[in-house]
Amino acid sequence: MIIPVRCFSCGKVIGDLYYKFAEEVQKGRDPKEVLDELGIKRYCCRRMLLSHVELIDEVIKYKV
Amino acid sequence: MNIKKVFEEGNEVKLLITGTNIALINAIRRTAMSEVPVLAIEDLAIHRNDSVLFDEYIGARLGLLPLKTDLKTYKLGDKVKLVLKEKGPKMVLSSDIKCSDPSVEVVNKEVPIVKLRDNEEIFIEMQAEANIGKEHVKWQPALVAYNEMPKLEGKVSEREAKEVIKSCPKKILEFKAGKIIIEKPYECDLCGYCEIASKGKLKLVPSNNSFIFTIETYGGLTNQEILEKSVEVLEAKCKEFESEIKGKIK
Repeated sequence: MIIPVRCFSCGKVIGDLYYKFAEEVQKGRDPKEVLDELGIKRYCCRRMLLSHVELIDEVIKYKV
Repeated sequence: MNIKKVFEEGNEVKLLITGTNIALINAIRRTAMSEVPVLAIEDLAIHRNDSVLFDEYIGARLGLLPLKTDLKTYKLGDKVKLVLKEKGPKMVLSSDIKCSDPSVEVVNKEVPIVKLRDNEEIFIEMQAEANIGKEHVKWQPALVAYNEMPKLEGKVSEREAKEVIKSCPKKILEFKAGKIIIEKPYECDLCGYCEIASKGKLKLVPSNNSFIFTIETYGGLTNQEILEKSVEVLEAKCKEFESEIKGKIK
């Protein structure tokens, strides 16, 4: 739905990094490079951003 | 005991602690993670929520935000009020949260809370409480870990040393004065490739009295504050034990 505030495993705050990450990847850059740039080292935090599907824009249309 | 800072980057600090034992290091690690008080949002009154996310969902997100805490003013159990009032269309960010005490603020300013459409409104009154990590992870101030300092024992010739240094996947070995030295011991993950490349001449041994201690704060307190406070808490616990045990056993 919307990016979780923290990493599920280690608890690092990753919510504020998602839009920067998505914007860079959208430009066609390698996700690995962007994640390294954002300083996300552990693979638990990296999967939070890599595997996220942003659905709030889809859901928001149907609110009465 | 001797403490040396070996690495610092962002919120993370690595310390090399020598001349101590695993019991003490682990006691400090555990108190730092689960006994140091820090602020986090605990109670909320949702006056209005027109958004697509449920009240509980927003509540859970707000609770997980780290808050900058001054340990001199906020003791265990102290509370402070915060407000979030926004009108759409906009993405409500953590920086929109206003606190009654200007010293308390959200650490990460750009965490999305909820997205609002035209004319949708959100109005939440919150109360943050200082509590400990034992109660809930949102009150855990930092990630703390330690590992034993690795050391290479044994002797190899210069030619063999070249092979060994090449075999290290992290490239942290160096040949100095006829000995192989681990240049950045905090990066070694004990993979053992150097042992294999030396054909059994070298042995990678973990030390039992020096440790690499890693602490990575979530931002509510500084690394220094967390460690100092954890020692204080540990001391108070020992003092309590001392006063309780006095005169109990003859």
